Amino acid sequence: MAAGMFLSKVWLNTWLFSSFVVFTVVYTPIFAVVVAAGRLFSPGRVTMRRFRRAVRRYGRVLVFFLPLPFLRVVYHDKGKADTQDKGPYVIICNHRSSSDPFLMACLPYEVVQVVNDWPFRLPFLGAFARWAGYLSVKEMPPEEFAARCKYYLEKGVSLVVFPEGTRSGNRRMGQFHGAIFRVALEMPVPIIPLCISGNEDKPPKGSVLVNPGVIRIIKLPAIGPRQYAGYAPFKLKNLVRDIIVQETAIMDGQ
Amino acid sequence: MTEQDVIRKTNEVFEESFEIGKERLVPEAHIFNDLGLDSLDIVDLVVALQKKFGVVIRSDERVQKIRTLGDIYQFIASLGQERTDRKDA
Repeated sequence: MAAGMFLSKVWLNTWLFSSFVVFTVVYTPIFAVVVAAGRLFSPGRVTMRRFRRAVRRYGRVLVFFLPLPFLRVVYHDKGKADTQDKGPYVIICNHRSSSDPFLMACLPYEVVQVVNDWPFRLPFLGAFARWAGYLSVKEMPPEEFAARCKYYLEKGVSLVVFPEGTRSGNRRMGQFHGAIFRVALEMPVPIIPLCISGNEDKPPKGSVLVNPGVIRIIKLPAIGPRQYAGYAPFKLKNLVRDIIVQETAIMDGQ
Repeated sequence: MTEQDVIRKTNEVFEESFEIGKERLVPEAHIFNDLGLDSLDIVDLVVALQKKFGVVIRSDERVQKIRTLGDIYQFIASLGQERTDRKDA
């Protein structure tokens, strides 16, 4: 059993990383050229929308197809009915693993992610994250962070945020930072809780090797501005945190 | 102001401003890890404490060392003591 698991892991990582490199080298220059050419005929806003759509498609192949059959990512939308339009939304996600930013490709919206500084240091992908307008929360003071978030929301771009600030590497969820909830209260926009389970060892903290298994992502119904009107930022962040804690506990089978 | 007054009024700040239940307000509670405040919440906390106790809180070495609710009780008590000493002088 253990030997089988080991072989699955070896095969998964060999296949995943080699196909990841080949796919990245083939796909990204093509989409960069196509998007850049489109810029000649379209306004900047349209180009950015296309660029982010291309990033999402790239992520979907990476997340949903390349790791099969040893690693499956299952996405379930429990809040489809009230989030049919393009947004913008503030999407709040628990953060267990470095694979989380890639998993956001499951979302059907134009998004900008608020991330730590490490994704920007990734070769090749870091540059694309920067071009897509991803925000490095460590590189800016709170006022600038709030202004940039509001800018994107006003343009109709949703924000994906991991308010724990750092990945836990296990099933425990850290406390939330409140900056994004202050932005949501000011705008105000619907907040979508997004729960990820099963990825705490895909890869484990401190490793790049992914384990076989299943990652489950559940998008919960949005919390509308009317529901949280009058809340203090502290209360709002804990409301969303409690919702995610409860859902991930169910997902983890606790 | 007695020590019990400081504890009661400080706890009221946490209950009123952050809606944190009484049962979580124990001296050893870490204000970030256990109570869930972040750096921006600290600004709100300082404003609420200033209003509650009628004091001015400046960012000095003592403030930067605060980690737990018990540290806040001690800090507020020390501010009250300083004010009494100034009056006596």
